[in-house]
Amino acid sequence: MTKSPHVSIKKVRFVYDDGTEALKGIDLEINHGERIGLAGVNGSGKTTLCKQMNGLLVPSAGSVTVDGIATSESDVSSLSKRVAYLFQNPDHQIFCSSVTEEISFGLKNLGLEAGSIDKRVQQYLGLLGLEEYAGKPPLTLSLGLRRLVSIASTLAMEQDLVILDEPAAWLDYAQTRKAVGAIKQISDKGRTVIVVTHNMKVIAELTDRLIVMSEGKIAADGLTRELLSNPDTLWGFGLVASPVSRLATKLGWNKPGRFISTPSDLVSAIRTLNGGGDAFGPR
Amino acid sequence: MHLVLVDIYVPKDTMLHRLDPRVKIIGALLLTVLCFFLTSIIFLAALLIFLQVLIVTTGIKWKNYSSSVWLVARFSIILVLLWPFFDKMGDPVLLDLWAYKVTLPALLRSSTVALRLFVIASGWLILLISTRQGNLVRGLVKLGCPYDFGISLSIGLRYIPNFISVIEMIKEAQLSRGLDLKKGGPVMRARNLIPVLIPTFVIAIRTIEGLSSALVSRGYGASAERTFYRDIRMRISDAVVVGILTTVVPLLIMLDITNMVAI
Amino acid sequence: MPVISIRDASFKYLGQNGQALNHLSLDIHGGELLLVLGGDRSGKSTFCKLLNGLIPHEVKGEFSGEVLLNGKSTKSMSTGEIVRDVGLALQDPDVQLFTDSVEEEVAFGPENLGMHVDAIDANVSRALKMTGISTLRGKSPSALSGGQKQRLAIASVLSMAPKIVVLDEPMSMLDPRGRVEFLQMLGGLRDEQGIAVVLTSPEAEEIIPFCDRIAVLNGGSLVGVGTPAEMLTSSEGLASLGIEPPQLLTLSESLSREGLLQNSRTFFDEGSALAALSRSPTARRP
Repeated sequence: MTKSPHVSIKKVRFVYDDGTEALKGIDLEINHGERIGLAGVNGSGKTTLCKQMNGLLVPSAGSVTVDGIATSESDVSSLSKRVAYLFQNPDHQIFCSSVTEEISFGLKNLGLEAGSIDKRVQQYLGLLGLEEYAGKPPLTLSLGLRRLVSIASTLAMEQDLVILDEPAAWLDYAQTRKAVGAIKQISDKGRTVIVVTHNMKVIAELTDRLIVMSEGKIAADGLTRELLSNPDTLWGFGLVASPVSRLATKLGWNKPGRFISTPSDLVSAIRTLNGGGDAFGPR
Repeated sequence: MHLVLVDIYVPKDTMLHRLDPRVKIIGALLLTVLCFFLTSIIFLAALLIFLQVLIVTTGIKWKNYSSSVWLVARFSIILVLLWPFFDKMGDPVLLDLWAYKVTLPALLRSSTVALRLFVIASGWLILLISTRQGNLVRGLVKLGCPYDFGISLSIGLRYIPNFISVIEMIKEAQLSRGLDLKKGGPVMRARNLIPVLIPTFVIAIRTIEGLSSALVSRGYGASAERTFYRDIRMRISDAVVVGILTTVVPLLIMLDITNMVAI
Repeated sequence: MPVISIRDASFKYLGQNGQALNHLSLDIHGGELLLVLGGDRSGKSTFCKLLNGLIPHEVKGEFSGEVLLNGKSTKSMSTGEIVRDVGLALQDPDVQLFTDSVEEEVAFGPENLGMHVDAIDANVSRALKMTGISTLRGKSPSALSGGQKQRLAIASVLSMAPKIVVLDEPMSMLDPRGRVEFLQMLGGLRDEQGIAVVLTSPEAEEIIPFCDRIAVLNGGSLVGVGTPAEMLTSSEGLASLGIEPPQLLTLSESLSREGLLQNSRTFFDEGSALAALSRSPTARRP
């Protein structure tokens, strides 16, 4: 494991052409293999911050380095070999005549040879449950499936830094499970994953560290489990804690050292509290 | 996501804004006609300056205005650059490269055409900058255009900036997958545009389908007699402006035709 | 009499394999808030188009069955007549804006219906008030936030004074706070105005406290319709239909499995959860 950070953002400010100051001084370090959630209300600057990391935007002040390379000295196409970016709207990317071709597009751009491309395509078709659609034109598929295709196309490129903008959006429950499973697998392989979303359930499953943005600044940066089990803090950031977390807080069970945000957290907490099994419910 | 949606219309209360939309439409039309008759560069330049002053009074910000300027500018530059392939007459000759010959009189002719483009564009821009979309449609309808045409035009104008930003987003998405729009010769570059063109096309079609469903859902065509909530009325100031336009424009045309004012 | 009565409706889009709607029968009552729940390709959006006459009049395909609006078949009505009673707002608010001011946008529908100017005035003001955007009256729609645009889309439909408002996944572009405020507004519409609200969504959790009934769709067929208590009984069942089970339901099932819930009755709302869990002796300990 390398000692230097994967991404280094120093004193970054960003102002759009129309004068809006979207980032007002960001200092952030992300290490290799971290699983990070990036949350905040619409307009807080999360997307702007992410676009700094793959060169789509260059800071107005300050510096952004990925793998030691300053983004201002590179361009998006070159950085795309190191940084994956999943966009929200799959229709902004899909253009090929088959799902297989669509997934191959990014791999061809990476310069992989045909044998490796085929292997990876099969691998990611399987990972996202898209085998039966391999030969079909993605444009004829439903929105949820199109999104899965764009997720497969992005993950297949296997870059070390993976930025995912609302990976669960447009997916139904079964499809979300597939996507979350795929993302878990790639972060288990050691890739650095940044999930941008305001869905606290997805953040609970996929991240260890949570960064909350507000009005162009980082408002909170800490352990996911800590931040997620405090509904009042989250509401202050315009975010909503999971129903289980809110329930646990109302019961007075959420406290430092014991963080409850998922059903299994609560069940384990009750088991330990009960120390054996005292059924409770209306008598 | 940050979308810089550019509205050409500027919500303010200036003298131009208060003019009846019909007057502005007629004004822009007369201006266009006038341009085809005017040959004097000085006249056209003076007219252009006058129109820019009018535009400034509307209080439009440069960022909203600049895209229209660049559009016309690019068109004009291409026009002037290609002109010497077709019009090589006159003296003195400034540049002679076999099929490409630049002569001063020809350069002046192409510049005049470019200037005309700017003047005509300015006239129509003034209309769009100072007229609410709804009033524009009402103006057109009162001048005799069918409502369908008016609303199609205004919806089209409304969605052009939308489209420009969608194309930008598509480009970003594809660049992030490693698409390189800068490498290779013209053939390769053209082929590399396909990943941008196809999604644009698809989104255009989906948008149009969505719009037409939305129109039906909002009752478009439900009643033969459509009401207009806010109506437009001509006032004395409007009549005055029409009077000025209908006397000055033919006068200018006559002056130019009879060559009383030359370059 | 129900406001809308769907009888054995089936629909197949032109050029697509598979039924989008499959022998669907459902009644929608005045003044109720109905949640239509379903996964990808369950037919939720097609269902919405059925309610305001886009199907069968505008969307190409094979339609069979009947949709009765106030007792009259939509096949024998024009869309112009139907939309007077059924308002539909599509998923993406950005594709439904036709004008450059909030006021004009809300007036657009009533103008099309040929309403008298005074009636338009009253309806516009009322619609803006109901959706809480009266202060935005003179603004340009492109200057609005996502949440405000959604409210504008609804106001534009409300001003036509429909009996039913149909919303296709209206919250997909909103952030969490926006969603809470939006649902509160919808609840207010149903309570104060007696307007029936039909809304589609792939997940139920946040909507449960506001809805009267839930209809579950799968592959174009109606799996069932009933109160939340009747429909939200099994996490596994919901998950198999591509619907996210409410977290509290999953919790109660886990607790039940472990024998930690005395009468094994599952719950899905906070109130019941609190009641069930605070009777635990452990809860009294801090």
